[in-house]
Amino acid sequence: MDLPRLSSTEHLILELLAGEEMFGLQLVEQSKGGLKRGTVYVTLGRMQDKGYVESRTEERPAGAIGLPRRLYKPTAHGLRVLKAWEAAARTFARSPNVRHA
Amino acid sequence: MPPGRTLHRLASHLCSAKTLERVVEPAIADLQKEYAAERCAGSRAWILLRGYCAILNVIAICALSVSTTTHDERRALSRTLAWSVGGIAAISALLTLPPLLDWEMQSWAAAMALVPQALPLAIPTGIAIGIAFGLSARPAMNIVKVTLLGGVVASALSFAVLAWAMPAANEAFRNIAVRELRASGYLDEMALHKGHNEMTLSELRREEASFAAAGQIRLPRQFAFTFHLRFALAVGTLALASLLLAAPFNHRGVRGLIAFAASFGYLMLLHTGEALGVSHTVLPPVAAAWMPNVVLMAFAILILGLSSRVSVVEPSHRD
Repeated sequence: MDLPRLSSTEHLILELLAGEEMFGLQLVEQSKGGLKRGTVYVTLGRMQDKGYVESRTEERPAGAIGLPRRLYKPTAHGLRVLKAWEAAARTFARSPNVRHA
Repeated sequence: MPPGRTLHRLASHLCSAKTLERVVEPAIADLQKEYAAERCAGSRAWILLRGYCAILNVIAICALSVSTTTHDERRALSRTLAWSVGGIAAISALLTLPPLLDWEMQSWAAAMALVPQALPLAIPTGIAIGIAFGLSARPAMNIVKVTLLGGVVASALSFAVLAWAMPAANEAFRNIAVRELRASGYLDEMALHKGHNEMTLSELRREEASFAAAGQIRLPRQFAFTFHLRFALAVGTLALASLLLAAPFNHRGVRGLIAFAASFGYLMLLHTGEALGVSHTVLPPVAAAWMPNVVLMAFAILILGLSSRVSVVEPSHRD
């Protein structure tokens, strides 16, 4: 069985989205430098392919110009992966064999 | 009008429909929202700059992902891009700073005017350095394709500099120098005519025809050589890239040496071509201008032909 992988960037995104739905730019702002504007959208696209997040276009008033923005939220699978990785991280941190910096 | 329409058109050519909808459009939409929400013109300009850089980065990542299949290949291309940009910046600084530091008249205007003069040589050399240090010998075909595509983009940029930026910069530099020399009393008040490196393509053609009609021999050839050189030097980026891609060595030091030797050789061939085509009328000016590219491509084909019979020289020392 292949376990789902979660990079540090994906972990941060899922943590931020666990609280509320957000736009990509909001994620960058909330991450306080953890996410870069040039790569967050690519990462969100990959996370959608993996089934960790889903998105919807925002509702806009009639006559609005420009492209509609996308709101992102975690899927149930994404939240399960997040919880599993956090549990694994806690277990690993408690391990006596872990070398601390 | 909201910003980002040109980038959207560019992305529609480079990325798949799914990537455009899922990745690029959200980035553009966020930029449009941020731009519309800001009222201050200065902040708006900063928002646009930041947003465009980010969206171009997104488009580049997506375009590379279409062409490459593995993480290692994407890393190799990123490394090549980083070395190329660094090489172009370093060569530009190397060519620009010494005259500026040596000269009594040091100003930002003079510095800005010197950079476009350095770029036509810095771009091909920087690309050669990028390929030498970023890739290993005989990269996969999709890497070669993406690298050559990058070479085409760099050639287009180089042509834009040669055709428009460099002549204008040369003229600006001359005006700055003349103004300072006149203010210091070293130069009389007299009209100075444009040199061939300050002329646009159409001006070069006009001057060539004018001097040829007057029965001159050397001057029309000089203008014709300069005209053709602007195209040939732009394509020189691709010629150098092809030679480095064909090189069968894995050792980074050897590849770097080849890059510098090839760039130096290209420069020497340019000067030889100018002597043969202008001073000594041995070659037609168009042949003289394109000679370095033909020689480099011939070398690349020869190396490919020879090395396809033997295995890659030296084991990889990379990663």
